[in-house]
Amino acid sequence: MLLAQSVFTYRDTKGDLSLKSRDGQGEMISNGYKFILRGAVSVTSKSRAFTLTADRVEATVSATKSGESPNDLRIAKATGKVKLVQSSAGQNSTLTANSVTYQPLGNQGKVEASGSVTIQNIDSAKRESMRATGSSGSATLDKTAQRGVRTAELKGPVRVDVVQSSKSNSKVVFTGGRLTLTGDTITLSGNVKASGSGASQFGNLSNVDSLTVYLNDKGEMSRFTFKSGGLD
Amino acid sequence: MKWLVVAICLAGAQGRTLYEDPTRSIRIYGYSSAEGGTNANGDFEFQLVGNPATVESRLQGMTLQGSIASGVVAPARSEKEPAFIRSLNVDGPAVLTLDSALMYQAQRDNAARFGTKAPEEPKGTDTAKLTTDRFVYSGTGSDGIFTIPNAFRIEARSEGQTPSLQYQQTMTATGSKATINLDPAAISTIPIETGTISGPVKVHIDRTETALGKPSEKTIMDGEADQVVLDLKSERAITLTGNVKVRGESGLYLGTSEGDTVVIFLDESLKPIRVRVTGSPTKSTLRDKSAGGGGK
Repeated sequence: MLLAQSVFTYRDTKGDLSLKSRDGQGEMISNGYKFILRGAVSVTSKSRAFTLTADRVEATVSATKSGESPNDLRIAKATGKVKLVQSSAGQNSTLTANSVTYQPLGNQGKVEASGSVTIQNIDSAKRESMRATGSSGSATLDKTAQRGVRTAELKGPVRVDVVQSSKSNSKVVFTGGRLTLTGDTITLSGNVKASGSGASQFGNLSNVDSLTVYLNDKGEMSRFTFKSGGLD
Repeated sequence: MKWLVVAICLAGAQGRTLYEDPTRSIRIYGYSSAEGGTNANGDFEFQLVGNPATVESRLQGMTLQGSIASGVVAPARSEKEPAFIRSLNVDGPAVLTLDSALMYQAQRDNAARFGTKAPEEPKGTDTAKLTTDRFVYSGTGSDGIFTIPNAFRIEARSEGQTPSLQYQQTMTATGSKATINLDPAAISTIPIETGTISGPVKVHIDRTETALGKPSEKTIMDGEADQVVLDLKSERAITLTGNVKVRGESGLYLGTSEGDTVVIFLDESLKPIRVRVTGSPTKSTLRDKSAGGGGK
């Protein structure tokens, strides 16, 4: 199958999975299709509650039940201005990077990302409560998690900007060598620093080995703990 | 180049900085290991091990050092509510240093930062160093209390000038425990407001002042008592009670006094200007050279 249209669209019969692009090509494979899409590509999965946009996407889709039209992703490799939005019951999460590989893992999605990776938590008022950046990393997306990203690891240098729960118009900025995000905590390690931003009067913390940020239900920082040196 | 090397050595000697508030008044440094974090109020909590671990509050002219320290810093809430040390426990050897020059420089920096009027430069400088094995500090944005539960030693030094003379004064005091209240608005450039020292207390004051065109005059006083109460805010006096002995070796006071209570009144530069001895019986050979001074 060769596709050379001004706008390419694929949608399964139930309207669960849709792929759009300016142009691309595809071929039929066992129980599905393999697409190579270019230009303003978007991939939307209603059942997984996520949308992927990028300049270029190689995607394999298959049917979750035999005999039905292909309605789920097996793998998607996206490059160029990649943006992944994972909705959830609580906050939505957005992951952007230069290159992303997405693979479903049960009800979750496993993401490997590289090149200016950014993860944002967006609340119901579309306000950013947390932004984490790194040079590369991985994440697990889950629509049933409180926030769209259930876990993530970013390699450095990393930076996290998070709203302080005590002051909505202030943020604390953390930097370090790497970070791990697990639900309500963000742990940074390797020459960690923290500084107040905006209206924050926190000040500056430096020369820290490891630091854990605790998030409240709104995804704001409720507190943090740190450790430096060999104190037991 | 030589100065650059010296500056680098000094920076290294201070050790790495852990925390600094936005106004750079509160600084924590010199630690070898640390733990802590923020609490629900946004306060910064810390536990330090160091040799020595150092907490500095420049707006109070205060540096606190110890081998173990734990405390809470309240970050600035606004321009008018600067950061301050809410609590601090220091284990020893524990050292408290008060330095009026540090305080004045911090006040100047703060004025420049917020575009407010800089304070007038003081005519003198005061430093005080307290060494002990442990102390506890509890403070707010405007005052603070030191509790020193065990034996300690204070060494204080004042120097400066008035329109008519120059002075230098050292004071040493030892005691078995003490409570000292700080107030940045106290009359001295050292923000000690009041204090109670339990004894046996020993105080030694050595002062030299030189008036224009006159030879230097030296005042040496020694005091012993069961308790000493400092009031540098309203009465500007040192009150010694219980088994009091005061001896003046030279200068304004010569001789000895014994009594239940001896009050040493000070002027604005902390110079002893008058002694009042009360009690029954009192023994005194004190010759007070100042007008209005009291014998027994």
